Amino acid sequence: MPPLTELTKDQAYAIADSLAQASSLVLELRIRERDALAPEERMLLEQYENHLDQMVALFRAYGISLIAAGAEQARGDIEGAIAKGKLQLRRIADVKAAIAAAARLVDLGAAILSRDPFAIGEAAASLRARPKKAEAA
Amino acid sequence: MQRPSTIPLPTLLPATLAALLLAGCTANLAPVRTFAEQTHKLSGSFDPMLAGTFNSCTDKALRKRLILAERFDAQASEQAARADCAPVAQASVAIGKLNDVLARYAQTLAAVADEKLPVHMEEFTALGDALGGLAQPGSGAPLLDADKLSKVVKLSEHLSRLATQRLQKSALRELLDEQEAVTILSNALKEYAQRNYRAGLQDELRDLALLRGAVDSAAPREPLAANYIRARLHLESRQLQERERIVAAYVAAVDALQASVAALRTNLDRLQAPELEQQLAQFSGHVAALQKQAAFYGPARW
Repeated sequence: MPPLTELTKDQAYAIADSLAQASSLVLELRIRERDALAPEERMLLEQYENHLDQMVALFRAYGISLIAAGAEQARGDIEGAIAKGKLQLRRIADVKAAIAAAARLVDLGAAILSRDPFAIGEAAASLRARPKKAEAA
Repeated sequence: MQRPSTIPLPTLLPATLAALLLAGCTANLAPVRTFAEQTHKLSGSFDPMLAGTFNSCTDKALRKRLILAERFDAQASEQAARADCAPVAQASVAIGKLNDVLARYAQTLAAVADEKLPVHMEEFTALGDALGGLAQPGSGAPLLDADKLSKVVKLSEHLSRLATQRLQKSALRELLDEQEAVTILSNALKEYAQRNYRAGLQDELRDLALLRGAVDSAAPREPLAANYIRARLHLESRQLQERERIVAAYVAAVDALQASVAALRTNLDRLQAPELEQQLAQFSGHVAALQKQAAFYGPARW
């Protein structure tokens, strides 16, 4: 619908509201003159109302798309800030992981110094196994 | 042989004590968490407006046809109403995304302001245990005695806590610097609530008044059916008025949200400031009122 693109948001909503009121006026007429109108006339009025209601929905939908477009830049900015915040959270998690890794390295060092093959194997296994868990967390 | 434990530790002790004394003044990010929690609730209370706007459009069409259609066909009426209102539902998807971003913004703020984040005690306890297990080669005596070990662990924990708090503060600063974007985005949500959700309710209310008149004139012929429909219309009209009040409550809560972001941003270095506390209390109050009013989102009950 190319002509719609010329409309401002305020115009789109003003048109929608006027059409909605027009639909109510037709409804009022249909109710007031119910007995005076022929069935075909009543059906015609009902159709007018439906068309008007369809137009209301279209103009309101257009207004919504203009609201969303107006906030698009802001949405992008906030998404960017969220991504940065998550990155900082990762850094903090990395600090925790680094401390835990240091403890496991010390364990391995101690095991090597003690020349206890069982302890070496255990410490080495813990060093291999833990980073996976840290990643999943 | 040199005892490695005797060299650096004595010089560390004064620093350790100073650091432990300072440990009392850790940053309390509770106000940020309060803001995040209220913002999340606010976003949750907006969500039903999206479906509500579409339902308002279809309800209006169906109600009118049900009472006044020349040839009423329930299934065809419903299909027609859904098709006519579909553009509104489609356009509203983008608004849902905006509201979703607001919710995720709140979640990220809450995660960054998590009080457990700067606590690395568990990790340092493991490191302490590992260090405590180190023995001096040859003698087998512990490399670090228990007292020194505990001081090293506490100091390390404290320094890491400070480092993490600096990271938290800078992340919070960056999130709050988006104050203007948050204002623009929440204004868009507010506008949707007023120009679409509320406009739909007002259309329904206008029609309801007319339909009541139509039912009244049919009452002499169909008194029981007329009574049933009149009661139904009365109930729906009351519910619609309550829904309109959700919009007013939402607008007030968004205004408080915008003022709260501004207050948080200004007071990030003095989060216990009374004016911030007052602002957040006001925000929480508006969100609580909104949540209470949001009970009327549901369909009218007998």
